[in-house]
Parts: sequence; structure tokens; C-alpha cells
Amino acid sequence: MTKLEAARSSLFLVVGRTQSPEESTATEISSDAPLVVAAQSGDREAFAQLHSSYAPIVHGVLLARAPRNEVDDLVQDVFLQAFRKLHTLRDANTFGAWLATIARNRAVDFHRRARADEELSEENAVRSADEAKAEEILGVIRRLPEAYRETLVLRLVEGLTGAEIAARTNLTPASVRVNLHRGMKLLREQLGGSGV
Amino acid sequence: MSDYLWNKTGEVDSEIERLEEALRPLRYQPQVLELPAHAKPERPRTTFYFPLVAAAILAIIALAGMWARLIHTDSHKNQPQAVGNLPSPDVRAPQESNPNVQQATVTQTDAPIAPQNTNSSLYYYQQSKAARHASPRTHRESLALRVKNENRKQQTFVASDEQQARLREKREGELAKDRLMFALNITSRKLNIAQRKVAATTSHLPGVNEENR
Repeated sequence: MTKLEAARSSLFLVVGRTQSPEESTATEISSDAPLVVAAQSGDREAFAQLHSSYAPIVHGVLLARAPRNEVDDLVQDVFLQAFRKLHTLRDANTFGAWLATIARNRAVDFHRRARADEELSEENAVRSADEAKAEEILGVIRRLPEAYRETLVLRLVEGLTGAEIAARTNLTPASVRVNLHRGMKLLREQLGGSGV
Repeated sequence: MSDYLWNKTGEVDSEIERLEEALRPLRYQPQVLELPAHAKPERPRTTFYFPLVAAAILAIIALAGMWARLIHTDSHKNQPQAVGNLPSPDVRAPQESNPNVQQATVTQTDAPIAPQNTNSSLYYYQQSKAARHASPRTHRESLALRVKNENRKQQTFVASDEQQARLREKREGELAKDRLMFALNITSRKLNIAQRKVAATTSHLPGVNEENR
């Protein structure tokens, strides 16, 4: 048994209390702490696994804030920054929340540095009809309050379930449930009004 | 809330399904992570700095202590010793076979002379006794007066020298204190700078150890 497997099994032994189905799903998903610990010691393979698990989350967080054509590059930036600064993460179980925060800050930083001509070039980009419609709906979602916006993008765009969102962003399942419910209600109202 | 919105189970919500389908082009397309070959996790700077800072503090304190001790020792070497331990003044009788009291010399060293010096008194006593038999009365009286004056002079000299020694010791003590305070001030400023640097290296990182939003 490798160190990684031993650490993973010990992590499951620690979680012994009775859990709701939502919580147990969240616990199983968040068992990436051994990978995080391995990556902190410089294991690139472990970090690549973390990348494949958390890239949709980072993509969703950035998509809710930054221009679509910049998001892929920003995702790479976020993971590179995370790899370099991984030693500052003290609790490996909060990796998802930590990564999401880096992504949010990176989006803010992007807007701070972006110039007006870059915005125009995005507006003039050639897109298909499906993409145009998708971006129109995304524009409506982006106008929602931040808490609902991010959760809805992760659910509707990235296709994650509520439990997965809770586990990977370190939010409680109840918070995610509320955000989804209220966000969806607001989105329906906005879409009904805008005729999309 | 429908289970479909939560975990895509149960009765399908047609509007949610329509939105999912419409937003599908924006979904993340798996890509290979391109980490530069030279990229590696940085060393934790805070744990690297703490032993250095601690060692610097200890070294400065030790140096300041040694400095203060050195100054203290030097001042003791230069200043006269305590009165009780003072060497007795070198009082020598003239070497002539017929001692003449007026030629008796009291050699004063740098150290103050103790008052009521017994050797001196004994010498003058012996001299006056010898002179009493050999000299006329006037000479004896003159000798007694001379001894008395000599003792008075010695007492005055000792008192003023003690005061000077005390003043000198006080001045040197204050100087040592000022130097120590100066060294501690420098240490404090260096610590502040180090602390600011450590804070700057960690604070610019977004969301360091942030638990939950």
C-alpha cells in the first residue's frame, strides 16, 4: 500500500459519525487531502490529478466573472499560481475553497489590468448561434448576485451536482441548496423578462 | 426544491434541462495542465525566517551583554578600589640613621589614602616619641601640629576622591545603559522590518488559508 493510499484510507476511518447522504457524498468527494499533501512536497502527478478534479470549478468561477475567451488562459494561470504557493495552504481539506479564492482574485486582477480595446475585441469575436445564445444566458446569470451566480454556473454550465459543488468549494450543502434555489428563481424571472 | 436541480435525479425539470443544453458550449473542455519545467512549490518563507530572526536576536543580546560587561570591567580597572581594600599609603621613614621627622615623606599613589591610617599614625607616633627625647618642646609641638594637619589633609583628599570616583562610576553606568538601549532599539527596528517582510510575502497571496466564504 502506498503512502497515498494509506493516508486516504486513514482519512475515511476518521470520518465515523453518522452523516446525511448529502454530507457523506461531500466527504467522499473531498478526500483529496492526500493528493494535496503529496503535491505540497512537489509531486507533479498528484497536482495533475488535482487539476483534473478541480479545473471545472476554477473554470466555472472564472466564467462567472471574466470574458469567455480569456477563461482558459486564466485557468492555467490559477493552477500555476496555486502550484507555486501551495505551501501557504495549511489545511489540505480546504484546497477547493483556497483554489476558488485564487480564481476569484485572478478574475478581479484581470479586470483591473484589462484595457478597453481588449473588451472591444471580445465583442467583435466571431461566434456561432449556439455560442451567442449561451453567452446571452451567461450574461443574465452574471447580473445575478455573486453567491447565486457562481453556484448556478457550476451547476448549469459545468454540470456539477449540488453535493459536488459543496465538497469542492467547502461550502455547506445547505448553503449550496439555498443558493441554487434562490438563484434559479431569480434566473427564471430574469429570463422571463428578457425573453431569452 | 426539485431533486433534479440538486443532483439531476427525479423528475426532469424541462426548463433546467433547456438551460443546461443551451449553456453546454461554455462547459470546460479538459486540457492538459502545462506546468513549466522549472516551476516548483516555493519554500515556506515564514519557517525559513523565524530561526534566522531568533538567532539574530540572541546574538545581539549576547553581544550587548558582553559589551556592557566589558565596559563595567574597564571602569572598575580605572577607578579606585573600594575603601576597605585600598592599599595603605606607602609611608616610608627616611633612611638616615638619625631620622628627621620633617623629612618624612608620605608618598601618595593614585589611590586615595584611607583616613586614620594606622601605619601612618604609628609611624608619626614612633617619630614623635623619638623626637620627644631628642628635641626641644617647641619642636615636639610643631611635630604634633604637623601630624594633625597631615591627617586632616588626607581626610579631605580621600573624601573628594571618593566623590569623584562615585561620579565617574555613575557616568559610566549611564553611558553603558544608553549604549544598551541603543542596541535594543536597533534590534527592535530590525525585528519590525523582518516582521513587515514576512507579512508582505504572505499577505499578497489571495485567500491564504481561507476556510469558508
